[in-house]
Amino acid sequence: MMTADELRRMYRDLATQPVTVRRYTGKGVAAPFFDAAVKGRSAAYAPAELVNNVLQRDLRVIVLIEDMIDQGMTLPITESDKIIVAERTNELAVLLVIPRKSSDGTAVAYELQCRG
Amino acid sequence: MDNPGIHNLGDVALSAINAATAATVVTSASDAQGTTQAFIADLDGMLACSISANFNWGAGGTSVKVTIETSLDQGTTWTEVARIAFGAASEQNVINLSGLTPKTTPVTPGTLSDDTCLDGIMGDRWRARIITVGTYTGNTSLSLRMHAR
Repeated sequence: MMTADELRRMYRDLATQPVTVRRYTGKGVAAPFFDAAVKGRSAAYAPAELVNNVLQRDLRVIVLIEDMIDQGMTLPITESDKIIVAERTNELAVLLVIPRKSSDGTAVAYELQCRG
Repeated sequence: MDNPGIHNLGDVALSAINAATAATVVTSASDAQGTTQAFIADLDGMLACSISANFNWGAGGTSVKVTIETSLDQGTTWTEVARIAFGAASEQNVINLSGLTPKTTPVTPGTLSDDTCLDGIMGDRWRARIITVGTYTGNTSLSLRMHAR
């Protein structure tokens, strides 16, 4: 059972890679978007995790909630947001958003299943 | 200052533009607890800001007026510091406001004229409101950004 601070520290140690969360508004080629550039973590799924809707080349991306707040992004991250990571040239679609919470229910990070 | 850099004063899609027949706040951010608030905050020490209002016009509509407001009393009252008007054409307007502009004659906050600013008034929280006349269609959208420094 981890407290919010302990969980936050654990995720902070993991979050060493640049990750951008992009939120579009409206439609069309000129649809405005807002980027929140944060430190996060992206990794491929292990072979044993490739079940149900998890496909090869999907990425697990972790971002901290306090970083999203500092960047001015309204929470929560949703499936309509896009993710940009260094190892992929295109924006990734968010398929699943899992809030990671401490034992007292405080949401500390988002774990995202991304595809693209 | 706290949190210099780019801040989102609001991205407004077509339906929200058309729904703003009365002055409507379009700014949304999260506070430290993750709760949504209708302003951007934590801008203590800001000396100046450049604001961009980018209106992408699809079709239709008559006018969209954007008002930029700041609060000096933690949100109790809001002072309009800029008003930017758009019509039926795509347009980007940018302004710069400075907190070092002296205001030695008291100013009573009120509604500004179109495309005018009230310089020298900077609080720690900011928001944008819009008011729309007519019905826009197509991919009409509005994007508001502040670069705080």
